[in-house]
Amino acid sequence: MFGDGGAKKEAKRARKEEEARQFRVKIGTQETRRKFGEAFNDKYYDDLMATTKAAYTPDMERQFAEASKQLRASLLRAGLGNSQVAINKEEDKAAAHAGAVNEIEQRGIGFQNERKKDVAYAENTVLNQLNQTADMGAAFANASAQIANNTKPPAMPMLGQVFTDLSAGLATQADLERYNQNRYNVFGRIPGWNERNRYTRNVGGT
Amino acid sequence: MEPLTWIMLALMAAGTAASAQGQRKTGQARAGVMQEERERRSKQQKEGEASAMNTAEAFAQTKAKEEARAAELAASSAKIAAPTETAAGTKFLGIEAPQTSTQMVEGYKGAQARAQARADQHHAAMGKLSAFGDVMLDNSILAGKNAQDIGQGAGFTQGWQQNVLPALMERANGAGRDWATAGDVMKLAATIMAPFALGQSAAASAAKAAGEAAKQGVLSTPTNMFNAYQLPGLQPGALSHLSPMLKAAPWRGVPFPL
Repeated sequence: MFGDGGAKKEAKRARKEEEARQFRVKIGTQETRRKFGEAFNDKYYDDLMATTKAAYTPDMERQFAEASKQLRASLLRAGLGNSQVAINKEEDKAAAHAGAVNEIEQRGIGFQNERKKDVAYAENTVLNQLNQTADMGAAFANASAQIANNTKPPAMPMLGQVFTDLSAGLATQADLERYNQNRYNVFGRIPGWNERNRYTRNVGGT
Repeated sequence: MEPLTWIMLALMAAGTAASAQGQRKTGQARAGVMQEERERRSKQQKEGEASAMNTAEAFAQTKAKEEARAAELAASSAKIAAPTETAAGTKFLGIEAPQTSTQMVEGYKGAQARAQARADQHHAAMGKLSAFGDVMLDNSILAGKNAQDIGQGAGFTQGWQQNVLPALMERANGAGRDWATAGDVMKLAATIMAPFALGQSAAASAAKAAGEAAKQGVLSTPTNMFNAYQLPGLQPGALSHLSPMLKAAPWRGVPFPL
Protein backbone atom coordinates (compact mmCIF):
# COMPACT_ATOMS: atom_id res chain seq x y z
CA MET A 1 0.00 0.00 0.00
CA PHE A 2 2.72 2.44 1.03
CA GLY A 3 5.62 0.67 -0.75
CA ASP A 4 8.73 -0.98 0.76
CA GLY A 5 11.47 1.06 -0.88
CA GLY A 6 12.35 -1.83 -3.24
CA ALA A 7 13.26 -4.25 -0.44
CA LYS A 8 11.09 -7.00 -1.86
CA LYS A 9 12.55 -6.62 -5.32
CA GLU A 10 16.09 -6.55 -3.97
CA ALA A 11 15.48 -9.64 -1.83
CA LYS A 12 14.06 -11.46 -4.81
CA ARG A 13 17.01 -10.45 -6.96
CA ALA A 14 19.56 -11.46 -4.30
CA ARG A 15 17.86 -14.83 -3.82
CA LYS A 16 17.69 -15.48 -7.54
CA GLU A 17 21.35 -14.56 -8.08
CA GLU A 18 22.63 -16.64 -5.19
CA GLU A 19 20.53 -19.65 -6.13
CA ALA A 20 21.76 -19.37 -9.71
CA ARG A 21 25.38 -19.11 -8.48
CA GLN A 22 25.02 -22.19 -6.29
CA PHE A 23 23.32 -24.07 -9.10
CA ARG A 24 26.19 -23.26 -11.45
CA VAL A 25 28.75 -24.39 -8.87
CA LYS A 26 26.87 -27.62 -8.16
CA ILE A 27 26.27 -28.55 -11.77
CA GLY A 28 29.78 -27.46 -12.69
CA THR A 29 31.23 -29.66 -9.95
CA GLN A 30 29.21 -32.68 -11.09
CA GLU A 31 30.14 -32.13 -14.70
CA THR A 32 33.83 -31.56 -13.92
CA ARG A 33 33.98 -34.72 -11.85
CA ARG A 34 32.17 -36.63 -14.57
CA LYS A 35 34.68 -35.42 -17.18
CA PHE A 36 37.67 -36.38 -15.01
CA GLY A 37 36.02 -39.67 -14.05
CA GLU A 38 35.41 -40.59 -17.66
CA ALA A 39 38.92 -39.64 -18.74
CA PHE A 40 40.64 -41.36 -15.83
CA ASN A 41 38.53 -44.44 -15.23
CA ASP A 42 39.68 -47.95 -14.27
CA LYS A 43 40.34 -48.79 -17.90
CA TYR A 44 42.68 -45.81 -18.21
CA TYR A 45 44.76 -47.00 -15.26
CA ASP A 46 44.72 -50.61 -16.50
CA ASP A 47 45.91 -49.36 -19.87
CA LEU A 48 48.64 -47.35 -18.15
CA MET A 49 49.84 -50.51 -16.44
CA ALA A 50 49.66 -52.44 -19.73
CA THR A 51 51.60 -49.67 -21.48
CA THR A 52 54.26 -49.76 -18.77
CA LYS A 53 54.61 -53.51 -19.10
CA ALA A 54 54.68 -53.26 -22.88
CA ALA A 55 57.41 -50.63 -22.65
CA TYR A 56 59.63 -52.48 -20.21
CA THR A 57 58.98 -56.19 -20.72
CA PRO A 58 60.68 -56.61 -24.12
CA ASP A 59 63.82 -54.94 -22.76
CA MET A 60 63.71 -57.09 -19.66
CA GLU A 61 63.17 -60.29 -21.66
CA ARG A 62 66.00 -59.35 -23.97
CA GLN A 63 68.26 -58.80 -21.00
CA PHE A 64 67.09 -62.08 -19.51
CA ALA A 65 67.86 -63.99 -22.67
CA GLU A 66 71.26 -62.32 -22.86
CA ALA A 67 71.99 -63.05 -19.20
CA SER A 68 70.91 -66.65 -19.68
CA LYS A 69 73.33 -67.03 -22.57
CA GLN A 70 76.10 -65.40 -20.57
CA LEU A 71 75.37 -67.68 -17.65
CA ARG A 72 75.42 -70.75 -19.83
CA ALA A 73 78.66 -69.67 -21.40
CA SER A 74 80.17 -69.00 -17.99
CA LEU A 75 79.09 -72.39 -16.71
CA LEU A 76 80.47 -74.13 -19.77
CA ARG A 77 83.74 -72.20 -19.60
CA ALA A 78 84.06 -73.26 -16.02
CA GLY A 79 83.24 -76.83 -16.90
CA LEU A 80 80.11 -76.64 -14.81
CA GLY A 81 77.55 -77.48 -17.46
CA ASN A 82 76.36 -80.54 -15.62
CA SER A 83 76.69 -79.54 -12.01
CA GLN A 84 74.76 -78.58 -8.93
CA VAL A 85 76.00 -75.03 -9.46
CA ALA A 86 74.20 -74.95 -12.80
CA ILE A 87 71.05 -76.16 -11.10
CA ASN A 88 71.36 -73.55 -8.35
CA LYS A 89 72.00 -70.86 -10.94
CA GLU A 90 68.86 -71.91 -12.75
CA GLU A 91 66.91 -71.27 -9.56
CA ASP A 92 68.58 -67.89 -9.07
CA LYS A 93 67.89 -66.97 -12.66
CA ALA A 94 64.18 -67.75 -12.46
CA ALA A 95 63.93 -65.87 -9.17
CA ALA A 96 65.75 -62.90 -10.72
CA HIS A 97 63.24 -62.98 -13.57
CA ALA A 98 60.40 -62.87 -11.03
CA GLY A 99 62.10 -59.91 -9.36
CA ALA A 100 62.40 -58.11 -12.70
CA VAL A 101 58.74 -58.75 -13.45
CA ASN A 102 57.91 -57.33 -10.08
CA GLU A 103 60.11 -54.31 -10.66
CA ILE A 104 58.13 -53.54 -13.82
CA GLU A 105 54.88 -54.06 -11.96
CA GLN A 106 56.07 -51.69 -9.23
CA ARG A 107 56.97 -49.08 -11.80
CA GLY A 108 53.49 -49.44 -13.27
CA ILE A 109 51.92 -49.01 -9.86
CA GLY A 110 54.13 -46.00 -9.29
CA PHE A 111 53.00 -44.42 -12.57
CA GLN A 112 49.38 -45.17 -11.74
CA ASN A 113 49.63 -43.62 -8.29
CA GLU A 114 51.55 -40.62 -9.54
CA ARG A 115 48.92 -40.06 -12.21
CA LYS A 116 46.11 -40.47 -9.67
CA LYS A 117 47.69 -37.80 -7.49
CA ASP A 118 48.18 -35.45 -10.45
CA VAL A 119 44.60 -35.96 -11.57
CA ALA A 120 43.22 -35.36 -8.07
CA TYR A 121 45.31 -32.20 -7.81
CA ALA A 122 44.16 -30.99 -11.24
CA GLU A 123 40.51 -31.70 -10.44
CA ASN A 124 40.87 -29.92 -7.13
CA THR A 125 42.36 -26.88 -8.84
CA VAL A 126 39.52 -26.72 -11.35
CA LEU A 127 36.87 -27.05 -8.66
CA ASN A 128 38.50 -24.44 -6.45
CA GLN A 129 38.40 -22.04 -9.36
CA LEU A 130 34.76 -22.94 -9.99
CA ASN A 131 33.86 -22.38 -6.34
CA GLN A 132 35.41 -18.95 -6.46
CA THR A 133 34.02 -17.77 -9.77
CA ALA A 134 30.94 -19.97 -10.40
CA ASP A 135 32.00 -19.74 -14.04
CA MET A 136 31.13 -23.12 -15.53
CA GLY A 137 32.52 -22.30 -18.95
CA ALA A 138 35.95 -21.40 -17.61
CA ALA A 139 35.93 -24.47 -15.35
CA PHE A 140 35.13 -26.80 -18.23
CA ALA A 141 37.80 -25.25 -20.41
CA ASN A 142 40.29 -25.58 -17.59
CA ALA A 143 39.19 -29.17 -16.95
CA SER A 144 39.69 -30.08 -20.60
CA ALA A 145 43.18 -28.57 -20.57
CA GLN A 146 44.08 -30.39 -17.37
CA ILE A 147 42.74 -33.67 -18.72
CA ALA A 148 44.74 -33.23 -21.92
CA ASN A 149 47.89 -32.53 -19.89
CA ASN A 150 47.40 -35.56 -17.70
CA THR A 151 46.59 -38.04 -20.45
CA LYS A 152 50.08 -37.68 -21.85
CA PRO A 153 52.10 -40.84 -21.20
CA PRO A 154 54.46 -40.51 -18.23
CA ALA A 155 58.20 -40.34 -18.75
CA MET A 156 59.52 -43.89 -18.49
CA PRO A 157 63.21 -44.04 -17.57
CA MET A 158 65.25 -46.94 -18.88
CA LEU A 159 65.05 -50.14 -16.93
CA GLY A 160 68.79 -50.44 -16.53
CA GLN A 161 70.75 -53.69 -16.19
CA VAL A 162 68.68 -56.00 -14.06
CA PHE A 163 70.52 -59.34 -14.43
CA THR A 164 74.12 -58.18 -14.09
CA ASP A 165 75.05 -60.27 -11.07
CA LEU A 166 73.56 -63.49 -12.35
CA SER A 167 76.86 -64.95 -13.57
CA ALA A 168 79.15 -62.63 -11.66
CA GLY A 169 81.81 -64.35 -9.68
CA LEU A 170 81.19 -67.70 -11.31
CA ALA A 171 84.32 -67.74 -13.44
CA THR A 172 86.40 -66.20 -10.71
CA GLN A 173 85.32 -68.80 -8.20
CA ALA A 174 86.02 -71.63 -10.61
CA ASP A 175 89.46 -70.23 -11.42
CA LEU A 176 90.34 -69.86 -7.77
CA GLU A 177 89.28 -73.37 -7.01
CA ARG A 178 91.32 -74.68 -9.90
CA TYR A 179 94.34 -73.12 -8.28
CA ASN A 180 93.53 -74.67 -4.98
CA GLN A 181 92.30 -71.43 -3.52
CA ASN A 182 89.13 -70.40 -1.80
CA ARG A 183 87.91 -73.97 -1.47
CA TYR A 184 85.35 -74.93 1.07
CA ASN A 185 87.13 -77.20 3.55
CA VAL A 186 84.74 -79.88 4.72
CA PHE A 187 87.06 -82.26 6.54
CA GLY A 188 89.55 -79.84 8.00
CA ARG A 189 88.28 -80.34 11.54
CA ILE A 190 88.29 -84.13 11.40
CA PRO A 191 91.38 -85.62 13.10
CA GLY A 192 93.69 -87.32 10.60
CA TRP A 193 92.76 -85.03 7.74
CA ASN A 194 94.83 -82.06 6.90
CA GLU A 195 94.16 -79.10 4.76
CA ARG A 196 96.94 -79.55 2.29
CA ASN A 197 96.15 -82.94 0.82
CA ARG A 198 92.76 -83.96 2.16
CA TYR A 199 89.85 -81.94 0.94
CA THR A 200 86.68 -82.50 -0.93
CA ARG A 201 86.45 -82.11 -4.63
CA ASN A 202 84.94 -78.72 -5.05
CA VAL A 203 83.29 -77.43 -8.14
CA GLY A 204 85.73 -77.23 -10.99
CA GLY A 205 88.36 -78.79 -8.78
CA THR A 206 91.02 -81.15 -9.93
CA MET B 1 -20.15 11.18 24.76
CA GLU B 2 -20.26 13.07 21.52
CA PRO B 3 -19.86 11.24 18.15
CA LEU B 4 -16.55 12.99 17.51
CA THR B 5 -15.19 11.59 20.74
CA TRP B 6 -16.32 8.14 19.74
CA ILE B 7 -14.62 8.52 16.39
CA MET B 8 -11.41 9.70 18.07
CA LEU B 9 -11.41 6.78 20.44
CA ALA B 10 -12.14 4.37 17.63
CA LEU B 11 -9.27 5.81 15.62
CA MET B 12 -6.89 5.48 18.58
CA ALA B 13 -7.94 1.89 19.16
CA ALA B 14 -7.68 1.05 15.48
CA GLY B 15 -4.29 2.75 15.28
CA THR B 16 -2.99 0.74 18.22
CA ALA B 17 -4.35 -2.48 16.74
CA ALA B 18 -2.80 -1.67 13.37
CA SER B 19 0.60 -1.05 15.01
CA ALA B 20 0.35 -4.37 16.82
CA GLN B 21 -0.58 -6.10 13.58
CA GLY B 22 2.38 -4.45 11.86
CA GLN B 23 4.74 -5.72 14.54
CA ARG B 24 3.22 -9.19 14.29
CA LYS B 25 3.67 -9.20 10.51
CA THR B 26 7.32 -8.11 10.85
CA GLY B 27 7.93 -10.76 13.49
CA GLN B 28 6.36 -13.42 11.32
CA ALA B 29 8.41 -12.41 8.29
CA ARG B 30 11.65 -12.38 10.30
CA ALA B 31 10.82 -15.77 11.77
CA GLY B 32 10.20 -17.09 8.24
CA VAL B 33 13.58 -15.84 7.07
CA MET B 34 15.33 -17.33 10.09
CA GLN B 35 13.52 -20.63 9.62
CA GLU B 36 14.67 -20.86 6.02
CA GLU B 37 18.20 -20.00 7.12
CA ARG B 38 18.09 -22.66 9.82
CA GLU B 39 16.80 -25.26 7.38
CA ARG B 40 19.58 -24.42 4.93
CA ARG B 41 22.24 -24.71 7.62
CA SER B 42 20.72 -27.95 8.86
CA LYS B 43 20.72 -29.42 5.36
CA GLN B 44 24.30 -28.33 4.78
CA GLN B 45 25.32 -29.81 8.13
CA LYS B 46 23.71 -33.14 7.25
CA GLU B 47 25.44 -33.21 3.88
CA GLY B 48 28.73 -32.41 5.57
CA GLU B 49 28.23 -35.18 8.08
CA ALA B 50 27.41 -37.63 5.28
CA SER B 51 30.65 -36.68 3.50
CA ALA B 52 32.65 -37.03 6.69
CA MET B 53 31.07 -40.42 7.36
CA ASN B 54 31.91 -41.50 3.83
CA THR B 55 35.57 -40.65 4.50
CA ALA B 56 35.53 -42.41 7.86
CA GLU B 57 34.02 -45.55 6.31
CA ALA B 58 36.64 -45.54 3.55
CA PHE B 59 39.43 -45.46 6.12
CA ALA B 60 37.66 -48.01 8.33
CA GLN B 61 37.63 -50.50 5.45
CA THR B 62 41.33 -50.00 4.74
CA LYS B 63 42.36 -53.39 6.06
CA ALA B 64 39.88 -55.37 3.98
CA LYS B 65 40.64 -53.33 0.87
CA GLU B 66 44.37 -53.68 1.48
CA GLU B 67 44.13 -57.47 1.63
CA ALA B 68 42.07 -57.57 -1.56
CA ARG B 69 44.51 -55.28 -3.35
CA ALA B 70 47.54 -57.27 -2.13
CA ALA B 71 46.04 -60.47 -3.50
CA GLU B 72 45.26 -58.72 -6.78
CA LEU B 73 48.82 -57.41 -7.13
CA ALA B 74 50.40 -60.74 -6.19
CA ALA B 75 48.25 -62.55 -8.73
CA SER B 76 49.03 -59.97 -11.40
CA SER B 77 52.81 -60.46 -11.13
CA ALA B 78 52.68 -64.19 -10.58
CA LYS B 79 51.13 -64.77 -13.99
CA ILE B 80 54.45 -64.12 -15.67
CA ALA B 81 56.80 -67.11 -15.37
CA ALA B 82 60.45 -67.06 -16.35
CA PRO B 83 60.88 -68.30 -19.91
CA THR B 84 63.14 -71.29 -20.40
CA GLU B 85 63.80 -70.72 -24.04
CA THR B 86 64.06 -67.93 -26.56
CA ALA B 87 61.35 -67.06 -29.01
CA ALA B 88 63.22 -69.16 -31.55
CA GLY B 89 62.98 -72.16 -29.24
CA THR B 90 66.59 -72.17 -28.07
CA LYS B 91 66.76 -73.31 -24.48
CA PHE B 92 68.57 -71.01 -22.09
CA LEU B 93 69.90 -73.76 -19.88
CA GLY B 94 70.13 -77.47 -19.81
CA ILE B 95 70.92 -77.99 -23.44
CA GLU B 96 74.42 -79.03 -22.54
CA ALA B 97 73.02 -81.89 -20.48
CA PRO B 98 72.92 -85.17 -22.37
CA GLN B 99 69.52 -86.64 -22.98
CA THR B 100 70.33 -89.39 -20.56
CA SER B 101 71.21 -87.06 -17.75
CA THR B 102 67.99 -87.47 -15.86
CA GLN B 103 69.67 -86.19 -12.74
CA MET B 104 70.27 -82.81 -14.36
CA VAL B 105 66.79 -82.70 -15.85
CA GLU B 106 65.25 -83.45 -12.49
CA GLY B 107 67.61 -80.94 -10.92
CA TYR B 108 66.43 -78.21 -13.24
CA LYS B 109 62.82 -79.07 -12.59
CA GLY B 110 63.39 -78.85 -8.87
CA ALA B 111 65.26 -75.56 -9.30
CA GLN B 112 62.42 -74.08 -11.28
CA ALA B 113 59.88 -75.23 -8.71
CA ARG B 114 61.93 -73.65 -5.95
CA ALA B 115 62.34 -70.50 -8.02
CA GLN B 116 58.58 -70.36 -8.54
CA ALA B 117 58.05 -70.67 -4.79
CA ARG B 118 60.52 -67.84 -4.18
CA ALA B 119 58.87 -65.75 -6.87
CA ASP B 120 55.41 -66.33 -5.40
CA GLN B 121 56.66 -65.33 -1.99
CA HIS B 122 58.33 -62.25 -3.48
CA HIS B 123 55.19 -61.24 -5.35
CA ALA B 124 53.02 -61.74 -2.30
CA ALA B 125 55.36 -59.65 -0.15
CA MET B 126 55.64 -56.88 -2.72
CA GLY B 127 51.90 -56.95 -3.30
CA LYS B 128 51.29 -56.54 0.40
CA LEU B 129 53.81 -53.72 0.55
CA SER B 130 52.28 -51.85 -2.36
CA ALA B 131 48.68 -52.48 -1.37
CA PHE B 132 48.82 -50.26 1.69
CA GLY B 133 50.06 -47.29 -0.30
CA ASP B 134 47.52 -47.90 -3.05
CA VAL B 135 44.58 -48.13 -0.69
CA MET B 136 45.69 -45.16 1.38
CA LEU B 137 46.13 -43.08 -1.76
CA ASP B 138 42.60 -43.94 -2.88
CA ASN B 139 41.33 -43.14 0.61
CA SER B 140 43.15 -39.82 0.61
CA ILE B 141 41.76 -38.86 -2.78
CA LEU B 142 38.26 -39.72 -1.60
CA ALA B 143 38.84 -37.78 1.62
CA GLY B 144 39.97 -34.81 -0.45
CA LYS B 145 36.79 -34.93 -2.53
CA ASN B 146 34.63 -35.20 0.55
CA ALA B 147 36.48 -32.30 2.17
CA GLN B 148 35.85 -30.31 -0.98
CA ASP B 149 32.14 -31.13 -0.77
CA ILE B 150 32.06 -30.02 2.85
CA GLY B 151 33.87 -26.81 1.93
CA GLN B 152 31.48 -26.20 -0.94
CA GLY B 153 28.47 -26.63 1.36
CA ALA B 154 29.99 -24.21 3.83
CA GLY B 155 30.63 -21.81 0.95
CA PHE B 156 26.98 -22.03 -0.06
CA THR B 157 25.86 -21.21 3.47
CA GLN B 158 28.32 -18.35 3.67
CA GLY B 159 27.22 -17.04 0.29
CA TRP B 160 23.60 -17.15 1.36
CA GLN B 161 24.33 -15.37 4.62
CA GLN B 162 26.37 -12.68 2.92
CA ASN B 163 24.39 -12.13 -0.25
CA VAL B 164 20.78 -13.01 0.46
CA LEU B 165 20.08 -12.98 4.18
CA PRO B 166 20.55 -9.20 4.67
CA ALA B 167 18.14 -8.48 1.80
CA LEU B 168 15.61 -10.95 3.15
CA MET B 169 15.85 -9.43 6.63
CA GLU B 170 15.47 -5.96 5.20
CA ARG B 171 12.34 -7.09 3.44
CA ALA B 172 11.06 -8.84 6.57
CA ASN B 173 11.65 -5.73 8.63
CA GLY B 174 9.35 -3.87 6.26
CA ALA B 175 6.73 -6.61 6.13
CA GLY B 176 4.44 -4.86 8.67
CA ARG B 177 5.13 -1.44 7.31
CA ASP B 178 1.65 -1.01 5.78
CA TRP B 179 -0.09 -1.84 9.01
CA ALA B 180 2.28 0.30 11.05
CA THR B 181 1.84 3.25 8.73
CA ALA B 182 -1.90 2.89 8.79
CA GLY B 183 -1.74 2.74 12.58
CA ASP B 184 0.41 5.85 12.70
CA VAL B 185 -1.99 7.71 10.41
CA MET B 186 -4.95 6.74 12.52
CA LYS B 187 -3.18 7.75 15.72
CA LEU B 188 -2.20 11.06 14.17
CA ALA B 189 -5.78 11.68 13.11
CA ALA B 190 -6.98 10.83 16.58
CA THR B 191 -4.43 13.18 18.13
CA ILE B 192 -5.46 16.05 15.87
CA MET B 193 -9.05 15.29 16.58
CA ALA B 194 -8.60 15.05 20.33
CA PRO B 195 -8.91 18.76 21.37
CA PHE B 196 -12.05 19.21 19.37
CA ALA B 197 -13.59 15.95 20.42
CA LEU B 198 -12.77 16.45 24.07
CA GLY B 199 -13.72 20.17 23.99
CA GLN B 200 -17.06 19.45 22.40
CA SER B 201 -17.70 16.84 24.96
CA ALA B 202 -16.72 19.13 27.81
CA ALA B 203 -18.90 21.94 26.46
CA ALA B 204 -21.81 19.60 26.13
CA SER B 205 -21.28 18.45 29.68
CA ALA B 206 -21.03 22.04 30.88
CA ALA B 207 -24.19 23.03 29.06
CA LYS B 208 -25.98 20.09 30.50
CA ALA B 209 -24.72 20.93 34.00
CA ALA B 210 -25.64 24.57 33.58
CA GLY B 211 -29.11 23.60 32.54
CA GLU B 212 -29.53 21.51 35.56
CA ALA B 213 -28.05 24.24 37.82
CA ALA B 214 -30.39 26.81 36.35
CA LYS B 215 -33.25 24.63 37.30
CA GLN B 216 -31.89 24.52 40.80
CA GLY B 217 -30.91 28.31 40.92
CA VAL B 218 -27.19 27.66 40.95
CA LEU B 219 -24.58 29.22 38.62
CA SER B 220 -23.48 27.28 35.59
CA THR B 221 -20.29 25.26 35.60
CA PRO B 222 -17.69 27.89 34.76
CA THR B 223 -18.91 30.32 37.41
CA ASN B 224 -19.38 27.47 39.82
CA MET B 225 -15.70 27.13 39.68
CA PHE B 226 -15.34 30.63 41.05
CA ASN B 227 -18.02 29.93 43.60
CA ALA B 228 -16.45 26.72 44.59
CA TYR B 229 -12.98 28.09 45.23
CA GLN B 230 -12.45 29.16 48.76
CA LEU B 231 -9.96 31.94 48.23
CA PRO B 232 -8.56 33.69 51.30
CA GLY B 233 -10.54 36.83 52.11
CA LEU B 234 -13.39 35.99 49.77
CA GLN B 235 -16.76 34.80 50.81
CA PRO B 236 -18.40 32.02 48.88
CA GLY B 237 -20.29 33.54 45.94
CA ALA B 238 -18.28 36.77 45.98
CA LEU B 239 -17.27 36.34 42.33
CA SER B 240 -20.70 35.32 41.11
CA HIS B 241 -21.06 38.59 39.26
CA LEU B 242 -18.55 37.29 36.72
CA SER B 243 -20.88 34.57 35.65
CA PRO B 244 -22.65 36.48 32.83
CA MET B 245 -19.28 37.57 31.41
CA LEU B 246 -18.06 34.03 31.34
CA LYS B 247 -21.17 32.86 29.63
CA ALA B 248 -20.72 35.52 26.93
CA ALA B 249 -16.96 34.83 26.52
CA PRO B 250 -15.83 34.07 22.92
CA TRP B 251 -13.67 31.17 24.13
CA ARG B 252 -16.65 29.46 25.59
CA GLY B 253 -16.52 25.78 25.13
CA VAL B 254 -12.77 25.63 25.47
CA PRO B 255 -11.76 24.00 28.73
CA PHE B 256 -11.16 26.67 31.32
CA PRO B 257 -7.51 27.04 32.32
CA LEU B 258 -8.37 26.76 35.98
